[in-house]
Amino acid sequence: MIFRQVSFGDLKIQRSSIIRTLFEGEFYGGEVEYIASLTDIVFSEFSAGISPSYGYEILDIQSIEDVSFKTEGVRFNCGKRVCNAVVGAEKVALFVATSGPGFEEIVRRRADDILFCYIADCVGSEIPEMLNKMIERELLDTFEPQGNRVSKPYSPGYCGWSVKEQNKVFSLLPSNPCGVQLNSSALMTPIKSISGLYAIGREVREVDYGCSVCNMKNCIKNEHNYR
Amino acid sequence: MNQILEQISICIQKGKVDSKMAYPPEMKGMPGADELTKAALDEGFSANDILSGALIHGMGIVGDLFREKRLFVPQVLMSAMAMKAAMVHLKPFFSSGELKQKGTFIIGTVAGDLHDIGKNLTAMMIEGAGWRVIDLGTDVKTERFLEVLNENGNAVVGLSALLTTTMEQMERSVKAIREHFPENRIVVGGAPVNSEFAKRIGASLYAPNPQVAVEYINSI
Repeated sequence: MIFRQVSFGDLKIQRSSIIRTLFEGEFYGGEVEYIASLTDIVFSEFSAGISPSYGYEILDIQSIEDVSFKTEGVRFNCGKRVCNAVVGAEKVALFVATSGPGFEEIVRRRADDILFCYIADCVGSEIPEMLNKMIERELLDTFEPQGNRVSKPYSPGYCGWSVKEQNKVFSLLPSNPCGVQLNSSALMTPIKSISGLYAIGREVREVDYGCSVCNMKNCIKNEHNYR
Repeated sequence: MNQILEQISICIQKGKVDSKMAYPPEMKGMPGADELTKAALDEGFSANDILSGALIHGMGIVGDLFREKRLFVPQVLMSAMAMKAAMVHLKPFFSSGELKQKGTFIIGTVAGDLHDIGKNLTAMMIEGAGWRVIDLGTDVKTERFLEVLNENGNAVVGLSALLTTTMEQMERSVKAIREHFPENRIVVGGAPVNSEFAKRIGASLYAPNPQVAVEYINSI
């Protein structure tokens, strides 16, 4: 597995984008200033206490069916939408990205300050997404020169792919990849972690996330927020 | 409204916790919900006057503004912090029985889902409306909801889900609660949920925002 550890600063999370998320794009006066100053404190604590990392494994696809595909002998029942993204792929990159345990330690220490915890949560949610962009860049740099395309990332829990399939993703990665563990509901610890796949191949097509049932403006799966 | 109660209500609306808090700038150095609540009790206001006339009043305004998208989550959290500071002074009156909560609200994010912002906000707003809230956290199994309902017979229960894939779990939990507690009210919420889905799975209400939940449970 390819593994990388980065610093919080490497992620280049923008304070302005956090403020935009917190206030849903609607800017006011004094509140924004106050929240911005708290966001700076969150950034500073994260810079000192968080060690984000990511890792991925490139695997050959053995077969693709209507709603599933197979790699390394494991059949992923990823649903039609994700499978549409995998059609045309020769390889998948199974990945894990995480803020590391520092996030939860900081939030636990500040548990009484619900506003700090909320801002920290917003910043923390950006961490795996920014790590994802790093993985994607690496995959593009590696595979694009050979005429391959790389899909968007798809994760269990989204786009009709059951969260329980996270067990299968982890079964093909080293034990506790990047220090991430799954609980009995197949959810990850540390909580600010993400896993999933990228499809890689010459015939990979652009497939929307298709989150028509969800109105979350700030979700990374919202088409407007991606790329 | 009496001046001090109005001041407390404004502190709740503005999120002014105490005099040390620099926010909002126009209230810098002025007493916050903490000091004013204590002062109101010292002046002889009953705990009930303060709770209904200032705290619930203030949080109600915050809830309305949030629903109208004139306030956002950070401001609601500041209000909740001010409310919490005031409630510290009222806690002994709940213990003595002088103050009574409106009822019990059990809330949790369904199994398979760790998202908690919407749930936490709803819990705070409902608590701010004078209810006792039992927050079961995230990734809550159906059995846990049933267990706590068993201990709190008349409670209203709230379920939250953010993932489209955990809506199925919400359905399983609601059906199980309906089966064991047919009379209890069930409120559901979360980004992928809507009223059609809520109706189909047998929930009593879909709450698109916390204030809708507050108004509904207050009307029961």
